[in-house]
Amino acid sequence: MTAISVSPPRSIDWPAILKEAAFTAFVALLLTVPLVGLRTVDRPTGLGLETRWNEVIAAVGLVFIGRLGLCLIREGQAGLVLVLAALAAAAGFFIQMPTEALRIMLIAGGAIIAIRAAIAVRTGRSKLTQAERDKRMDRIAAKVQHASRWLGPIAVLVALVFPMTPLADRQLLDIGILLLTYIMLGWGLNIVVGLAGLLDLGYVAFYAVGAYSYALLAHYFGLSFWLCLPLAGVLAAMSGVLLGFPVLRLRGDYFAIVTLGFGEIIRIILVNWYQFTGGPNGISGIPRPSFFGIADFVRTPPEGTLAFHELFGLEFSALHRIVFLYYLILVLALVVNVFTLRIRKLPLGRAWEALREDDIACASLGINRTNMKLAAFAIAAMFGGFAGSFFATRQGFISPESFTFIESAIILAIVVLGGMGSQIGVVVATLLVIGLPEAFRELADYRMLAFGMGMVVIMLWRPRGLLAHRDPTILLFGRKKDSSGGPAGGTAAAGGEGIAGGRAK
Amino acid sequence: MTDLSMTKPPLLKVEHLTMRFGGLVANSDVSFVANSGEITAIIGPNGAGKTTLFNCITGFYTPTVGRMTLRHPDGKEFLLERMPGYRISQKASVARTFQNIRLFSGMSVLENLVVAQHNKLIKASGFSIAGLLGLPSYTKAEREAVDLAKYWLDRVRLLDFADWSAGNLPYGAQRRLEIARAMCTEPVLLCLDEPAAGLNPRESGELADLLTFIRDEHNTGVLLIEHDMSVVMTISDHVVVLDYGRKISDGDPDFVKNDPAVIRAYLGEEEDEELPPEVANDLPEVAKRAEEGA
Repeated sequence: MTAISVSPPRSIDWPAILKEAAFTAFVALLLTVPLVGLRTVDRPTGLGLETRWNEVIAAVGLVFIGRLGLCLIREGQAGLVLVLAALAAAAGFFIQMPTEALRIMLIAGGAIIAIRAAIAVRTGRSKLTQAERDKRMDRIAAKVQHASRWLGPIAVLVALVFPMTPLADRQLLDIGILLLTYIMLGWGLNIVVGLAGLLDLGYVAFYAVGAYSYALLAHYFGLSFWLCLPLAGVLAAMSGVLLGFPVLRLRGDYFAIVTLGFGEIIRIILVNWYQFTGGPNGISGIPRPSFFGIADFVRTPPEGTLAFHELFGLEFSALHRIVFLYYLILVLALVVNVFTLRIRKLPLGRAWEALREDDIACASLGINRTNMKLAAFAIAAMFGGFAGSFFATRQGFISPESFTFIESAIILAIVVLGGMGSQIGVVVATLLVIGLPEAFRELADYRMLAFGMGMVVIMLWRPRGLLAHRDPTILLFGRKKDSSGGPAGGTAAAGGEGIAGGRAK
Repeated sequence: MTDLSMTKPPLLKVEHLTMRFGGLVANSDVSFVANSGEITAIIGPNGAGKTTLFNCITGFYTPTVGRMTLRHPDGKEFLLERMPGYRISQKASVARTFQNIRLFSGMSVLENLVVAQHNKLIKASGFSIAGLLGLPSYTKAEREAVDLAKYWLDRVRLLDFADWSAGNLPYGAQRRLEIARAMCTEPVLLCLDEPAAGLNPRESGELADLLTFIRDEHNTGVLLIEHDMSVVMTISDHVVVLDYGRKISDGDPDFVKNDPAVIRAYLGEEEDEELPPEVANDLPEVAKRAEEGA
């Protein structure tokens, strides 16, 4: 990596570059033949194999050219590569290609290499080491975090106004609700993973407990959403404590594995307890939320009750309920956010962060580690439960399918990519992880490819997450104007150096 | 020594402490006392069981055999071997530092000291509820906590670095911060595990001053593991020497310095020491074989 900035342009060693590119293409071939080239399809005669050699050829070709490009960047030809890659991406974009796959790969590959080359062109000029670059990135993260003081309220305002603009159609509102749900889950998990430093791989279990709490309470007892919302939170918190008691003595990887198991246990119970939960068929006909128990969102209300549009003298619109759901999840998510921002400045939040930093030192200071961790677990679970019951009422139908491990993984990915412990990072990461695949829904199969690429790029570029930066929760001297990189910036910079050192080896 | 302990009950009384890990005996029948307002040093060669002793006193290990009684100035007594780890700090007010520094390195210096006052603050914050509501009782408690932190930061000359992250401090400063953090828990007994390790002579001198200050002004009992004899011998009121897990000497610094058992432990046996009979009898045989082999 440092070679970019250190070595001046020299004569290009073509055989070596070609050899390296060919080798990489060979590795890509080995990987893509089973992963991409062969596909099992369900035929009436049984399971059959389908081959997709075009895609394999395109992928291998792309890897070959891409590696060639990377080598040329290393040799100091970044400008040339940038132009070529941009041309390739443009060609893919404008010219009709024989297959769709080729076209997408051309665009995506060209764009990525172009970005890489552009970064090389920029950093190649400023002779910075990796550590310095990491420090600079950290300063940017710090700036974003400080900017969130005024950026946050603006974002909230935009989110508040959005449903009232003519822009807000059914599809965009649905995406907004989806994003806000994941933001809320991300903020909830951030309490456990980001603050308390406990790697929870089964967070979706609490989401499921919340969703099924509401669905079952409504199904069997006919309880309303507004009564079930707190109940779902309490039940999820209790399940968090239940899980927490036996596992909190475990540390690190062992802890993660047990939480992973817990997530699966909940899902398998839901699948197999057919008489009670409906098994894999799930529960349908979950009641929609009413307007705070006063009015329903229906065209023709039953005798003696008022509908929402009648209450406010509006024309009936199916959109009303969606807008209401949107505001509901917005408020729920903001509650989690405000809670986290406040708790960080309280002894409980500080104890969580101290536990993340050094658990043994905490014991020596008389901090009851079990209680602190249980509190983190229960509170995060409670927020997961709220989100779950919201999910149930929004969908009207839930099944164990919605609570698979991949959901936990996505929520965790949001927290990690955003930068552990960073509230604004969760928002940015959700926009990337959930928003991008939604925006590129037309790409069908390839959107997961784009998702994977995005993750790899972020992890290479910002290994500690996009906005990993921690501000002290209490300052003795207040914030000094001139020292953005001073005391506050130091925290993450130290870690950044460590990582840079690790990468250089 | 004896008549003193008759008049004033000791702060910490360790009796017949034995700690075994499987077959390994780390401490064997160790008994000693430590008094309030005194510095008690525990010295001994590497592997003598000093840190194990500390871990027993501070609750990280539960001793196999033995009793440890801590007596507060107000007369309350605690049997340390029966308390879970965190309670020893919370209730019995024993604080410690670690041989390899254990700071919350990602947090700021001030935060480190505020976390140390966790138990006081979490009560004031009504287990977070009053704190979340922003009630004035918590704000006041936090201000007091910051004042205490400021006092100790001033003591260890780190006031200017209060907003730095602890991990960015130089090594010596980190050692001092760890002591300040332990003192912020307002302990009656402060256990320091090699606080002078890695310090230069000037820093060691400062450390000695700090420890004397803690002893004299705060009337805190200090238990000190240390290899740096210049520190130990100048500031200690009482020295306990361990070797192979046993106590081999106990007394004031001058007594211990001249105790033959201590000299033997540190410098080894005299030249003319006799070999065990079975080795001595075998020696000619071994020499003969070696010759034949050559």
